[in-house]
Amino acid sequence: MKLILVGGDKATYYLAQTFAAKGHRVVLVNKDRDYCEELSEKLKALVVCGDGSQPSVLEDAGSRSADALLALTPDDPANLLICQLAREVFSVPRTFSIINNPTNEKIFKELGVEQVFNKTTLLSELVEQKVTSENIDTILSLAGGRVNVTQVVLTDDSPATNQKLEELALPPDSVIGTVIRDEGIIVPRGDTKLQADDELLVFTLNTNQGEVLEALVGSKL
Amino acid sequence: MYTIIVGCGRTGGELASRLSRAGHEVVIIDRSEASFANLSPEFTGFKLHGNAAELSLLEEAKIDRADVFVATSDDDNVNYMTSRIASCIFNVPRILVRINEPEKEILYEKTELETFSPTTLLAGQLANTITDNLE
Repeated sequence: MKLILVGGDKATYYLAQTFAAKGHRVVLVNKDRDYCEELSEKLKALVVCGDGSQPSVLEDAGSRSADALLALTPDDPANLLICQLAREVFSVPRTFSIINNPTNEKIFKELGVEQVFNKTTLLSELVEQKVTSENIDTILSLAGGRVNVTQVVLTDDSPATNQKLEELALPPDSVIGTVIRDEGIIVPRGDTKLQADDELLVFTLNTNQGEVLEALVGSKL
Repeated sequence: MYTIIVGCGRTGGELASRLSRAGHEVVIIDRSEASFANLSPEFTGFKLHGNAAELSLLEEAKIDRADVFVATSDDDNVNYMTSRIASCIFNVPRILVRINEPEKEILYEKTELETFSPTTLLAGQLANTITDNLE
């Protein structure tokens, strides 16, 4: 599957990495030249530096042959226009968008953006779920909240610290996708030993998220 | 005639002033309060300060009873979003949109919205003037 990710900050990198790891072709479009350079150094992905709300930039990103596009900019009007361009001009079959102002959810849906991820609502739901732990941070919630990407920072006291991945009793439908250690990136294997201060990116279903977090850091949502 | 204008730059301000002078009801929206200086002293309409891409502000402007909606801001994305809201959600009878980057015109091809690209208009006018003088 060929995916185009337009705009966005740190989460874009992790998303791209996740999709690439699953074997998808990822194209990134970003206005920030420095970030583009960083992305193209770190990722095996085509990076197009430019304003994704310009038709010519989406064309350069190969939109005509894309299977899906995800708009991640902090500007809702830009996200809307990017998705509409993708659908109506480049015939991208599926478009997704982040929305920053929750009242725009209705507008986006009414105007035909297939799937929206409402950042504010997602965050407020998390607060309502009493996520008070400072070392757990849900980065993304996908597929209508059924899949979560959570960032977890291990401490000296975490149950997973000094354990090998294969020794952890994690539920079957969960993956530790990436370990960030001293700015370096580790794609972990069974014999990878976790350390305190490791930042883990964990992919879970919403049904097993609590169990996974408990096994890693001893607290759950 | 009840008209809502988004963007009080030179174009939006001049348009609002002219319509107001001609006796029409006008609401002008801009995210910068200072831009209302572009209105002439004869403007008697209503000034709304805020982000036009927010539904609540458009509702405050009483978009549901607008006869004409004009998006004149310098942000094409805002012009697109607000004009689509006016058309798809509030069925405003007449909608005019300014296009700053001509390549974005392509988005409006399948819509009923009337678009105006200052760049294309001026270039066309200049080209015509030049070629007419040659004949």
